[in-house]
Amino acid sequence: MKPLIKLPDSVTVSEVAALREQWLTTLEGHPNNTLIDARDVVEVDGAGLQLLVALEKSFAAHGHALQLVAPSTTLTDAMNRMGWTLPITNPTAESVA
Amino acid sequence: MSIQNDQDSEFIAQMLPAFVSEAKEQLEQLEALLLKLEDSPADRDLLDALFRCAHTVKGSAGLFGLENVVGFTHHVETLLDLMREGRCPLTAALSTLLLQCTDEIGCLINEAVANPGANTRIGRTELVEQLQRACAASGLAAQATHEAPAQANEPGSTAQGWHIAAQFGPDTFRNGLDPVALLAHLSGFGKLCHVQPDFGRIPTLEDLDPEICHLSISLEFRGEASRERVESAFSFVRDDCEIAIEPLSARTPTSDAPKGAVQAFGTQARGSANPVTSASVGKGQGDSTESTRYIRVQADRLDSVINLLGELVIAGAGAEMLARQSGQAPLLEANRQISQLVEEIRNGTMQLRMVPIGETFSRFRRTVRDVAASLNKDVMLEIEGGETELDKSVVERITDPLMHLVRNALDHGLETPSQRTASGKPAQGRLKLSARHDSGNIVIRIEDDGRGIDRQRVLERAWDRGLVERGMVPPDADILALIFRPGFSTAESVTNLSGRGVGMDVVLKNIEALRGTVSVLSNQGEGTSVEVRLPLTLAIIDGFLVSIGRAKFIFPLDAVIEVVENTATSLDERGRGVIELRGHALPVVDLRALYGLEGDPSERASIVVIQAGEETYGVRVDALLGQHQTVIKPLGRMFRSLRGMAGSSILGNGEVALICDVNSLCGLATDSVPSTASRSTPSEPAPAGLALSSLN
Repeated sequence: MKPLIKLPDSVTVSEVAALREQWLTTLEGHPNNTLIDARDVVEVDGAGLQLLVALEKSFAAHGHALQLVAPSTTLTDAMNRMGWTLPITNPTAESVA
Repeated sequence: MSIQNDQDSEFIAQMLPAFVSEAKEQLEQLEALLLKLEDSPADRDLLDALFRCAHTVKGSAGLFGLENVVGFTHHVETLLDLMREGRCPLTAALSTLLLQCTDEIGCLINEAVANPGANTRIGRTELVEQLQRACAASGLAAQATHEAPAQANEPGSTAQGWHIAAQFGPDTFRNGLDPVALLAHLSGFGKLCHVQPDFGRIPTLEDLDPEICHLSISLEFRGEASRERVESAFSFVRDDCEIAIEPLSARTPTSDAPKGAVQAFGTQARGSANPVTSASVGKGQGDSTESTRYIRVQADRLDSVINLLGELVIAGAGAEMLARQSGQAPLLEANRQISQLVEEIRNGTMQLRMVPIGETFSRFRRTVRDVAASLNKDVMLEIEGGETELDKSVVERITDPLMHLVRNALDHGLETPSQRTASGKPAQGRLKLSARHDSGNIVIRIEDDGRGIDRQRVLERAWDRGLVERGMVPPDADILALIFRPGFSTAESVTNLSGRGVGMDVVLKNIEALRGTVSVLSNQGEGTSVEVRLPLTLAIIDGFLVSIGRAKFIFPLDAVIEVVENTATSLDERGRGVIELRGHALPVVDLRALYGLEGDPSERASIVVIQAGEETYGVRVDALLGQHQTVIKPLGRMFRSLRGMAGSSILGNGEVALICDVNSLCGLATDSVPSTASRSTPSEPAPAGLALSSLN
């Protein structure tokens, strides 16, 4: 399955409001696709992580678990710092395409 | 990881200038508080404020990794804490020590910023020793809670570290703060273990306001850093964040601290279980209300707004002139409204640059205290009118000249207590700094009740230096004027304060550069008063536009008292004469004759009556053109030597008008014919900005 959401290179307080709107629209009608492509993230802050947590909670409300696809080191570093872990999926040929 | 480290150093580089300027402000406040405390040594509020200042400096220095500053300030803080608890009373010696320490902190900050990374100095050891002795004297130096941060932690914590629980406030993100970056910073001086986020407060995406922070976290910090060092990492978020910091050993070390520990910890911190931490949180809150009332703006941004405003004023004047020529009433009305708004904006913007002079004055408290002590003099400084406001750029440029005048008064003017009692004066000398507004000017006066200027000595020195022909005695005012000559000094001994003869001429030059004047009043044996008169602003004034022939002149509106009809009077070759105004003689000057302007005198000439300080005089003009918002431009180099003019301005139609300097013009209008004595002096005439008089 191809990830529905691809994180931009920057997921910070400047982007979170727009990203939330965008994701809410994208997610309508696709509650099963919980893959998040995170390879491009080069900048992330607390607000960005919080947004991902909120997304995870939305999935969880529907009984699904968010999965990160090929998260960048920046993102995993930031998550580790906050002590947060998520299931990580290695990119499949399909998801890369 | 490396990206974040880069971000850290970038962040630090960006924030450092702000830190330095804030730290300087804190140090200034520290100094002011110490001086205030000398008058009321037991004032708990002052002591608290004092401690807070030192603590803030230390905290933010810690955030920037300025270990030397942190280490030294810690010793100061320890002593202040003892004072605050009433265990160590403030003595004069202690006050001096703390003032010296304030200077030292400033030096350390400058050094640390100039050579980042270089661990050159750890603060003057003799100061540290004195501080420790002072603490020891109060019998509590060994209080383990206040050991130097670099050496050890709180008892019980030993070298293990701290348990930290933080609940970030809702505005954390909006205030530009990032918990992730904060943790990265914290990891710079210790190891972060068992980091446990608490996401319980984060709603689902649907219900989330993504700019409100719901993050909480608890972690174990392992390292040598002190509580203050750890706290300092949180100093930016402390205002809207609940933090609990506990020594690790105080808690049972667990490898799986339960989620929700933050809440439990937060509650604990809010209670009385951990007085140190809750006190520090409270402190942060106190500071925040203070800081949110101000916005820091770069001075050059403000300057560019003011420059634009100048252009707007000129363009507005042009439009109004055209509207007047067109004779269309609605256009005129619309223009009038625009001008009124422009004027309001102008006043508002100029107001932004206005600062009270009191801040500068209170800086002199320290000077007076230290200089008087080093000269064994007892001096009381009085400050009056500290709330008087003037343009920031003027304040910056007037501080040095004022400082020199104050030092002069202390060194040359005021006598030692024994000399004073011998001449029947109270042993304590009086130095008074006052400021007031006076018709578009600010008048700053430095008065002392010292020995006054010794005319005979001034004269002898002038004879020795060939400034005045030997044996010649010029009028009193001219004698006083001699002290403003380059290289002149009557001090019997050259001290490191004054007496080198560099200064008074520089003082005068600096004040003149601000379009200001200096006047000296001195009564031998009774004291000296130096009055500095400065324009409030250097940029825009309300002017009164007049014309003489084809030339236009502007008077500062504040100086214009009235306009009277010209009455025929005879003028001398320099255009000076006298008319009668309601029974009094009014000196009058005719600019046409004075400056050799072309054109015949108008038959309907008027006389504009001008107030310059204590004096009034008239200026004969051809036509009155009314009020004019005047953007002051400097005079070209060719006209610098022109007496009576202060600057130029561009009118709406592109014409140039000269702005009159009412004070120097006053000299030209009221001067008697130069006396033979002063004419015989070989050097140049008295500078334009100098007015001298005598109480004798």
